[in-house]
Amino acid sequence: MGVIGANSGGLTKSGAGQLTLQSGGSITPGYTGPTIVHQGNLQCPGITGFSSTNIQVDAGASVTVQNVSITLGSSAQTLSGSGTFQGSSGGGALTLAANATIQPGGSGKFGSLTIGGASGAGVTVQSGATFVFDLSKNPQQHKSKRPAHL
Amino acid sequence: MCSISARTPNNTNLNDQLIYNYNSAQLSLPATLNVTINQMDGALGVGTYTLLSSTANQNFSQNPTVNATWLGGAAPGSYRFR
Repeated sequence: MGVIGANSGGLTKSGAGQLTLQSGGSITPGYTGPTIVHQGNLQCPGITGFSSTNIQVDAGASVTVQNVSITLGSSAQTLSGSGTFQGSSGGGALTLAANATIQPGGSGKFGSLTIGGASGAGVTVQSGATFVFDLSKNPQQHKSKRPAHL
Repeated sequence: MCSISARTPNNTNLNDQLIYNYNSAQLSLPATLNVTINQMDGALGVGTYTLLSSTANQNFSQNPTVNATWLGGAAPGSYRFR
């Protein structure tokens, strides 16, 4: 396992397996490039936030935060996609802070994004956070883009 | 704020959706919630678009004021968030 450099780089996960982003404590990883999970599960023990300005979790993929609470959007940050971003047992709440943009599906793509905190912890949306939704009056035109679970 | 109703033609209810995993804890929303609506094919049609839903069919007890930004055309002639 390598180290993703601070202020550079990003993380893209492909493949159905699980990848653990090891922190060694309660930290926010310093890399500022995108965090993209195309498939499988990205486990994040001790990750209290991301420096990535763009976090994308695709359909069927997931990001799981363990052991700590996590805040997104302390600075400009977008969470998008049709996957799942949530805490797990032993984790805490998910806070969407003032600079968070939550964009289910992604820009110009229809989809359902699932968010959640750890059991009993919940999600807090702070003032200033923005939800962005794509809507259409014509489903036929976009039928091929429509996720099966909608 | 769970959905938006619009009163102009041809809506057939296709949209993005944010699903809250209830997981034994409520979703906490601010008093004013910023929502951007990107109209992919121009002004929305008649009907209801569910924007926010929850596992376990939990009702959202909060009813924030929605600060809406409309993209892709003018806002529908009549609409409401509920």
